[in-house]
Amino acid sequence: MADRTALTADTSVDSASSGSARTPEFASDVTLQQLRNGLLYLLQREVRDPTHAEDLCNEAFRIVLERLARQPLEEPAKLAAYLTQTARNLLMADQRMTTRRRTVTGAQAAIDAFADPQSDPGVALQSRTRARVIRQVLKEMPFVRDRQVLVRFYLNDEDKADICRDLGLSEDHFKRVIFRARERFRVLLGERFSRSDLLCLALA
Amino acid sequence: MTDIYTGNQDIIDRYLANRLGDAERQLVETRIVTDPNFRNELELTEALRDGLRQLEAQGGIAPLLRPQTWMWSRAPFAVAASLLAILLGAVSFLVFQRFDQPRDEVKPASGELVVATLRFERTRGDPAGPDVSWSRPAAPALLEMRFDVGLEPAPGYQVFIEKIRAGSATSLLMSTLAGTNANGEVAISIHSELLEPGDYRIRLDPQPGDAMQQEPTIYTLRVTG
Repeated sequence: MADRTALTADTSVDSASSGSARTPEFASDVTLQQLRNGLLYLLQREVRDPTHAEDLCNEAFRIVLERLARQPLEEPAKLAAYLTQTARNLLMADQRMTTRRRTVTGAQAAIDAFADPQSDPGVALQSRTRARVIRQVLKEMPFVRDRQVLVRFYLNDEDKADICRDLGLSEDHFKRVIFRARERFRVLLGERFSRSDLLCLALA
Repeated sequence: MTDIYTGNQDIIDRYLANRLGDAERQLVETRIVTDPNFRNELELTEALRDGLRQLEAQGGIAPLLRPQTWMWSRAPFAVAASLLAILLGAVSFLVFQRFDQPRDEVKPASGELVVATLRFERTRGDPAGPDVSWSRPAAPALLEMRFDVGLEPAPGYQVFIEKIRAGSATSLLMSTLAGTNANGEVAISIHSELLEPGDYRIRLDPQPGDAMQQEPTIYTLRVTG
């Protein structure tokens, strides 16, 4: 369900000319900031580069706010969904553009596999910390079968029903194993998780 | 809260495994944008998956999935263990022969202790009937009872076994403190001689801990025979 407004160039709104247009009342700057944080998180999952994600986030907000200045949403409660979809459309357009502009050399796989020496060391450190923590979680599980549940479900993305059938487990037991492993992981890694979680760095 | 949590977790798992349709994915992404708690849970799951991927890249997964009896698969260990077991059995037999004296107060050999296990689960079929019915064997038995206490067990439970008398009155038979085993169950044992035929109420009071305040869990047992 693409929103053409997000993709066309007809968004050059002169804010002065929209003086009488109604815009939805945001509860506060906190609401906007929360939406921004959420949208940024979503975009960073896809593009990895924080600067690029911020650009897309800002663009999405610009498009939505200009659109609202011209014409309020029929259902204001769906603002977040509209904003999310606009960001998703921008992301798809950006990915298509990247693909079109790519120079074909026949060695793309090798280029993509080349490690970026400028990659964020914090991200690498975070991954190593998580590996250390999940290793401890697995070691604390007394039954190898329960470890297999965790690995097959979260690493191999196998279906829950298949895992239960293969290992002879009830769904309740499966849920208990997953729940306890997650909670133990949470405790070991810290209470709150974010890419800039200082606790992760401290544990490393 | 447990049911809501389970529902959230299920959709998060399916989202990260790319098992959602377009409409569901849109709903999840909108929720990621608007709900910080949901976002936190998703981030935790992503961190767990990332940790597993990194551990696999380090070659650390396979050793943790290896059966822990590896030592016994080596022939010398297996032979040594077998010989030790035979030797121990022979010594025990000789010692038993030497010290065994006929005593009138010893029960006949037929009075061996039988071990029985009953499992109590939260889902009930017939709300009017007992959770579990048990026919007491003629021979003395050690009854092990295992109780399902849900997905978020407390650190420990005070277990009360009460016999239900006429007119819904109860009398306390036994009270003990028990923790949860590796399967998240509370397990206690009781000699069958203490369980006369009749109905019993078993109450598990969660001990205070970091988890949310929980209500006691109550099961009923009918003993016959």
